[in-house]
Parts: sequence; C-alpha cells; structure tokens
Amino acid sequence: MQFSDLPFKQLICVLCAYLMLTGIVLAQEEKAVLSGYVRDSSTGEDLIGATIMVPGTGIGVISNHYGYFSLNLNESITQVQISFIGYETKLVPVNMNQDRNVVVQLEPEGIAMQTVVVSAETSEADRFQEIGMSVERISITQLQKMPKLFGEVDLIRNITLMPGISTIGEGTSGFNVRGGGADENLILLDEAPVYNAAHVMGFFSVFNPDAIKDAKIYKGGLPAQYGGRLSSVLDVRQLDGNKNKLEVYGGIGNLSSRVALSGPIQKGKTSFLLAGRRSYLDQFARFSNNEDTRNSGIYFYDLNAKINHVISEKDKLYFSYYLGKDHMKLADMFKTQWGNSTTSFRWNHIFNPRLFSNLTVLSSRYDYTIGVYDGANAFEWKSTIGNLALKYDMTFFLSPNTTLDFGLHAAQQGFEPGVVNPTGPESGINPMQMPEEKALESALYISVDQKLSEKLKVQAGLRMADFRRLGGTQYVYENGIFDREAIIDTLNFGKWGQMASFLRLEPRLNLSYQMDKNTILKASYHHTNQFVQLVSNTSAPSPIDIWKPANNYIQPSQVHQIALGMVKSSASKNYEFLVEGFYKNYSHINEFKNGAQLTFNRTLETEILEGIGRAYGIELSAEKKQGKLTGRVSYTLSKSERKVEGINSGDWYNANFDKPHDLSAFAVFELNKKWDFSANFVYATGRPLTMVVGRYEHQGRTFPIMGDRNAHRIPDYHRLDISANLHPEGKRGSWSFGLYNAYARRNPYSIFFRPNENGNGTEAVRLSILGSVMPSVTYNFKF
Amino acid sequence: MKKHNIIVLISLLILTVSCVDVIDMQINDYEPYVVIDGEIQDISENQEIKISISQPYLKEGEIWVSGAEIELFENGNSLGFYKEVKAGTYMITLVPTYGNKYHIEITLPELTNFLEFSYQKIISIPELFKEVTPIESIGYEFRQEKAGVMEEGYYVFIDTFDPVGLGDFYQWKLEKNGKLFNLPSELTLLSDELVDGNQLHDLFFFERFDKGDTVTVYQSSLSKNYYKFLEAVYTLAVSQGGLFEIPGYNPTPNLKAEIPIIGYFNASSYSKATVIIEE
Repeated sequence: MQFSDLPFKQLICVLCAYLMLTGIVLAQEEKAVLSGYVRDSSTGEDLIGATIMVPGTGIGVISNHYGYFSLNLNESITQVQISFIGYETKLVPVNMNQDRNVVVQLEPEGIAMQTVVVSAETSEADRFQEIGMSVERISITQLQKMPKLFGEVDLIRNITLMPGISTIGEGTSGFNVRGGGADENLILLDEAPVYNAAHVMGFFSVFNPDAIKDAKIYKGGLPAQYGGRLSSVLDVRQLDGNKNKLEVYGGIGNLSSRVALSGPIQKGKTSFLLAGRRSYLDQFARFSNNEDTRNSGIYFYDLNAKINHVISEKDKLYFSYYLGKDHMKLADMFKTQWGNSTTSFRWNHIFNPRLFSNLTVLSSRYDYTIGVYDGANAFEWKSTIGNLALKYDMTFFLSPNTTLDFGLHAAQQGFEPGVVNPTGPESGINPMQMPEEKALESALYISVDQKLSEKLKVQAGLRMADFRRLGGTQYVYENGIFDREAIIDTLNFGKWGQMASFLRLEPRLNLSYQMDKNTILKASYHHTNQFVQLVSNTSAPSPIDIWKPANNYIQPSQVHQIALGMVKSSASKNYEFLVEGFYKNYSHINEFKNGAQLTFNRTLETEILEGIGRAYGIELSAEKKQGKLTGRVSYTLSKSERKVEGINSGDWYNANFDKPHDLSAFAVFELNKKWDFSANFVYATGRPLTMVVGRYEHQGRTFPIMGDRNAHRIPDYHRLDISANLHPEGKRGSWSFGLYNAYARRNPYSIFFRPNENGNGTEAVRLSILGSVMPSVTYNFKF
Repeated sequence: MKKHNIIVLISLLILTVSCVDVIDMQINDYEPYVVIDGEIQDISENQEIKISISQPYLKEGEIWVSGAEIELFENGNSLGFYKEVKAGTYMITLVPTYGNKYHIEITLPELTNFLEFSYQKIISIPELFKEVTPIESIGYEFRQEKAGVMEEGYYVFIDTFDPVGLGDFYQWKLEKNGKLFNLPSELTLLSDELVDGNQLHDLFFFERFDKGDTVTVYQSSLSKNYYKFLEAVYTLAVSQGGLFEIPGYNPTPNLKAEIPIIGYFNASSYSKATVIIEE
C-alpha cells in the first residue's frame, strides 16, 4: 500500500476542524491558574521537562523549554507534586482561590538510594504526560557516566545506542534514524540549526558536554513546531549559567581539554556561561624535529557562550553563541578548515499566566575552506551555507487538559556552493565562482495537546510549510531531458526573483492510551518535506559536501511515517520495556548517476536520479532505572531500501546505511560514593557492500568489474567500551578512565579490492578505522 | 584538483590511527564480460587491440579470445582488418591523421565456454584523434620527506600548456626504467575546466625516483568520454579504502553490443619526454 492511497486530504480537513473546535470549546473554561518555573536549587538553572502533577489525579503538565509551566486548577486542589529525573520530588501546597505564580526549587539527588521510591512513583505519570511517541530524552547526568572515547562523553555517540539510531561506522559524521540518511536529521542548538554536528569526522560531536543542559531526540511523530527534515529532530539546549554562584569546571584529558566558567552577573537577574574546548593532537607534533611534522596536524576547538537576563517576572532575554572549527594541515602543501557558528537571541514574554511566548532571532552558518599550496595546482576553495531566521512560538495553556502551541517561522537561506581562487604566482588555476543560491523557508503551525479522557491523550498538529527558491539561473532543456547538450534556453532571476515555490501541508499526530497502571499504548504519524538536501554520493557524508535547495527540477523529498508502540513498566516501576514498530515511505529521494560531478556543477539536475524509498522495522528495549546497577538493552530489526531508475536495473536495493540487526546495551554500576563503572556493547550487521564480480586488463592496468550496488555486506560490527569514574572523597576533582574498543576488535569500515603493490596480482583488503583499544584518562574539576 | 583528491587528503590525516590489512576472502561472484582493450596512437604505426573474457577478481591469468574479426574504420570508411599476432592480440599498421575519427567493428568467434558470446557483434563509438600539446621541458628535483605523505627522493616535473578553449583532456603515464606505473590509483588525469588556456608550469608527479632511474613521461590527449571512463576507474580506486567511499560502479565503455562488455577503444596522440636522474 502506498501512503498516497490514504485519504491525505481528508486527514488534513479532520485535523483542521479538530483544532478549531478545541479552541472554541475550551476557551470558555474558567479556573485559577498556577504558573511559574521549576529550577535547580543549587545552580538556579531552569529545568526542562519537569512534571507538575496533582497527586492522585491524572492532571498535570510538563515544564517547557524554558522551565515554565501553567496549570488551570479548581479551588479544591491544595497541593501539587513536582518531579524531575535526578532531583528529589517535592510536594508544594497551593491555595487556588486566585491565580498563583510560583518558582519551585528542586534539590539535586544527593544519594541515589534515598530517592528510589519517589522517582519510581513518578515515572509512570511522567511517561503519560510526555505524550510524544518515539521521543528519547538524554539525561546529561546519565551521559556523564557513560564510557568515554578520547576522554569525553559524547552526546551523538550516545544517542546511537538508542533503538532505531545507528551510524555507518567509526570516523563518520552524522547518524541514521530509522533507515534515514544523515542529512535527514534536524539538529538544533538553542534553536539554531547545525549543519555538521561532527568534529574530526565524528570522533567528537560539536556538543561540549560542559555546556549542554538538555537534549531530546524525536524519531517519529515530529511535533508541528519542527519541520524541514525527514527523519528526526535533535533539540539540544545549552546551560543558562549558574544564577547563584560563580563556578569553574572542566576536564584535562590526554587528547583534549575543556574549561567552563559560569555564574551570576547580577544576582537573580543575569547569569552567563562560557565554555571552551580544544583538542591538541597537533600540539604534540610541535616537539618533532621535522619541520613538516611540526607544521602538520589536526585539531578542533569550540566555544559556547550564553547570557540570560530577567527583565521582569514576565520578560526574559537569552543570548546564545556557538563557534566550532576543525583544522587540518599537511606541512605547507595542504590546509583545510570547516565549522559551524550559531547565534540566537530569544525573548520570553508571558502575556498572562496562560499565554507564554518566545521570539527567537537566529543566525547559523557552516563553511569550509580548502587550500592546496603547491606549484601549478595551488588554489583555495571556499563554500558557505547561511541561515537567518525568525521564530515566534506561543503556548496557550487552555485548561488542565489542553495546551495549544502555535507559531510562525521564517528563514532566509543563502548557499555559496563554491569559489575557487589561485594562490601564488605559479598557479595554473583560473578563478571560478559558482552562482549564489537563495531561498526563503517559512511555516505556520498549530498543535493541540489534549487529554480526551483519563486514559487517552492526543497531540494533533498541522504545519503549513512554504519554500521559495530565489534568484539564480535556470536552464531550459529540450523535451525536459536533463542533458547539458539539450539546453535550449537560460532563465536568469534577479537576486529576489522567485524561481520556484512549494507550499506543503504537513499533518502530525500522536496518540497515547493508558491501558492500565503500567502500560501505555502509543501511535504516531508524521508527514514532512525536506527542501534542502545534502549533495553527496559517498557512503558517509564528508565535511566538504554542499547543500542544495530544491528548485523546479530537484523536488523536495518527502516522507510519511507511522509508528505503533507500547511502553510497559514493571509493578515496582524499576523496569521499563518498550516495543515500537515503524514504517516510512519516501518519495523524491535523490541519488546520483554513476560518476556524477557534484562540485562546481551548474546543472546538477543532469546528475540526479530521482527515486523512492522505504524503511521499516521493530525496536525493542528493556531498561533498569534504579538501584546500584542501571542500564538498558536495545535491539532494532529494520530494513532501509531504495528504488531508483538507473541503479540495479530499477529494483529495490539496500540503502548505504541499511543495518538489519542493531543491538546496543549499556550498564552503569555505582559501587559506592567513590567509584562507578560503566560499559557498553554494540553489535550491528555490517553495512552494505558493492562486490567485485570480475577483473579486466586495460592498457597495462588491472581494473575491477563491479556487481549490483550494495548487494553484499561487510562483516558484522561489534565493540565493547568500559570506563570507571573515581570521585575521591573531600576533593573537588574526579578521574575518568576509559577503554574504547576494549577487546581491540578490528572492525572493518570497508572491504575493498585492488591490484597488489607490485601490480601483478589482485587482493581483498580490509580497512579498520580503529585497529586497537583506545585508552583515555581525564581529570575533571569543579571549583 | 578533483573533489576526490581532496577527500583522499582529508582521509589520510584521519586515518593515521586506522589500519589496512590484506584478508583472505572467498569471492564467489563472477559475471563474465567481453573485454576490449584497444587504442589508435601515434607513438608507433603498429595499432594493437586485445580481446579477452574477464576473470574472477582474485584469479590469475587471462582468457584470450582468438579468431575474432576486427575491421577498422576512419571517418566511416573501412581501412581493412586486424591480424591476430598472438592469442587474443590483433594488429594493423596505420599512421593516424589529426582530426579524423576512428572506430572498429568486431565479430566474435565461436566461444565454447561462453556460448552466449559466440558470433556477437561489437561496434565502437567513433573517437576523434586530436593533437596533444607538447611537453616543453622535463626536470626533476630532490625533495625531503614531507609529513608522512611524500617520501624522500627525486620527483619529476614538466612544463606544458593548455590551448585556449574548453574541452581538452589529458592523461600522463610515467615509466621508470621501462616499467609503467600501472595501479589504477596512479592514473594522472586533467580536465582543462580550471586551467583553460594556461601555461602549466612545474606540473609535478607524485611518483618517487632514485638516482640512476630513467624516467619517461607520456602526455596524451583524451576524448571527454575516455576521460570520464578513466576518471571513474581512478575515483573508484582512490575512494575505496577511505572514509568517503562511493558505491562501486563500472565506467561506461564506448562499445555497443548485446552482451556484457567492458573496456574502451580510444584514439590518443602522445608527446613524450625522458630524463635520467643524475647527481
């Protein structure tokens, strides 16, 4: 069955009617409002996702991205319970004869054992409150205990341990969610999009663990607030900075070090965070006797900054900044650098206790420079993608059972695919510039989060996305055949002239049904469009790939995803089991012709093959949540396939990142206050391989003959990492010891075939990115 | 410089912790193809074509096709038939003319082990024989070891130029003491897209030489299709074994047939220069 067979238009009409009705009926309710913020008592950080419940009832709400909540309550309610993972639960007495505004301070858990009972009581309520299906929240506290590669915990490496999320292999940027490509993930840092979330090809991510407060990944049922990518949203929020006292913390490791400074500027009003990180493999090279080695190396750095200011009870301002760069240098011959920068400015305004608003103005940029500085070939090549956006989001807390989110987003995107300039007088390279491309992507959305009965919750949303491709050149092809020889006309558009436009409606739906005290059934559906795609024909994205906005010839890619699942907790609430099945149907997927020229190509449409795709699978997970030993085992059985005319005779074939079996497990053992240990294990089917089916001789050289694309697989991948953390008593510092790839498995990244060195025979060769165990030691400090 | 060369350089830096090892692998997949390896050139008047059947990748030796009938055409007019000089190798004498187009028509003999190929016809798409610019000078210099990517030794460079007007494609072949550098990753190709009309000064080759070596550089002209054919094999060879490999595929031959066929029949003019590495 194709999704296009479904009554897509009817679904949109029903959704619209439902959204309107909700507004009319519920606007009439009149109750007193309890609103306010939930904060960490020691740092004053607003807590995202804390649960505010009326004990013994199903009435409750979750604090939003700014720690704000609002709940309409009857006068009969005398207390509310506030809880958050990693914090002691608090009962707060309330007198609801009139609107109340509160700030609830939660104490971080001092001793884990004391809070076991309390957190167990709240977990089920939390699950039901947090309706979103296929959502995973990443606790930074938990993250800190995970095994470390190169002495650091890493957000992206750890989300790949979750069911349904995988990576192509070590040393690759990006991750794959439910059989989707790495460019299908919307990665947001304080709301600004990050185009390449990897440092050093994915060995590190751009998220400095010292600067991150909260992260959430949506694998399905994307809320209507998000759009523009097909597979997932990774929403990462930076820390606001300690509001109570100045603190310095960080870590010194064998490969990289971090330091962060955080504190109040004006107590209770203004706070800041400044965090920096740098790897220093290149610095070791400085001790070399060889000048070229001294001048070579690879390193990255990043800088996070944030300032927050409370103007009044109703108005707050946030300023966030991120800058990250990777540098590589090979003596005086070759140099490259790439990186992201994001800036966001946000203004929270509370119109009334029920109506919360946030205005964001942001800019985001990704660029790279490549330089070759040698004789006739000397040149420098630059490419940039930039984004300037405005978002206005509002939340209307209509009743204890209903919340309405709506807003407007608009982004102006600029693409500079490439500029080449010769460097040095001996260079034989001519200057060249690819025309700049512009686009305007905007959206209106509305979403209702409503409890229809004690047992049934629904989140229904609609996003209207509009994309306009502005300026540039469009070639006209004879008979619509994309061939350079068939160009019969050239249309030039002024800087803001509209070349192409797309208006798309995207329905979103999440349902949650509480079967019994311990069981929740969930279902979700989302439809999204991706208007900007990564132009890449390599199996893993490279840092020098470019992004291409849709035009009249390159259609936006689309997906429909449905998912069904069940969450079951044990009676003690200590164990949680999850099962989810999903099906995704893709259309307008872009693949490239064999031998396609993807850089400096003004007629990219001549290199593209359009196709369809499907991905489906089942995810299972079991988690132990409390006690000295905690952990999770996840297993995903899935398939991701594509069908493109011109590849494998137009038959279905495995996507580059198809990994049918994917098992990951982690465990954390807290021996005592001093020591904790953790381990994770990963096992996955080897990724697809295009096999040689023969060889031939041509002008004295041996060439391979390749068989069907991705018809075979490289051997399976497995790896164990272990780590230990030591917290010496009475000291401010702690030690982290880690072994990545503990049993030194030589996991193949690829298998390939080549003539042997002396050129008179052939051989099969295995490439492993890490061939041995990687030890690391880091000293973490806090003052 | 090609994007893949850049990617190779980036990979090289990343891969300092990686390891590559030859593995014992059973490759059961084999699909026979007819292989055509022929060229019209101006280094010698003996024009050669080799016809064979492809072998499983790890198997040694060749399966030569004997008894094929090959007719050579110039601007569509027959110049006669090739003669088989040894099993699978066919020869004809010709001094090609700049600006003329050459193609061949082949009829395969009866092939008892590959019956589906018997008596099949293969026709090549005509290739233009285009004059190549000369190598104006050749030199060499001693270079120190460089950052692990360049060994200490002697390196050869040439001076040449690209004529004004897009559409020139080049290949350089290097020979050390009469032996060709023949790995697919050692193919050296250039399109004039970024260097159109320019003097190419100190065009430098990455092969290392020792004192006493005799080095010959062959500079040849390629058609766009042949350039794309060689570029495909080169890209595949350098991307495999790196972080950013592309899914493998076969280059497009300029040969039409109703059976699986691979290879190329090209027309290239050559300019050659030789230098002996001395003190």
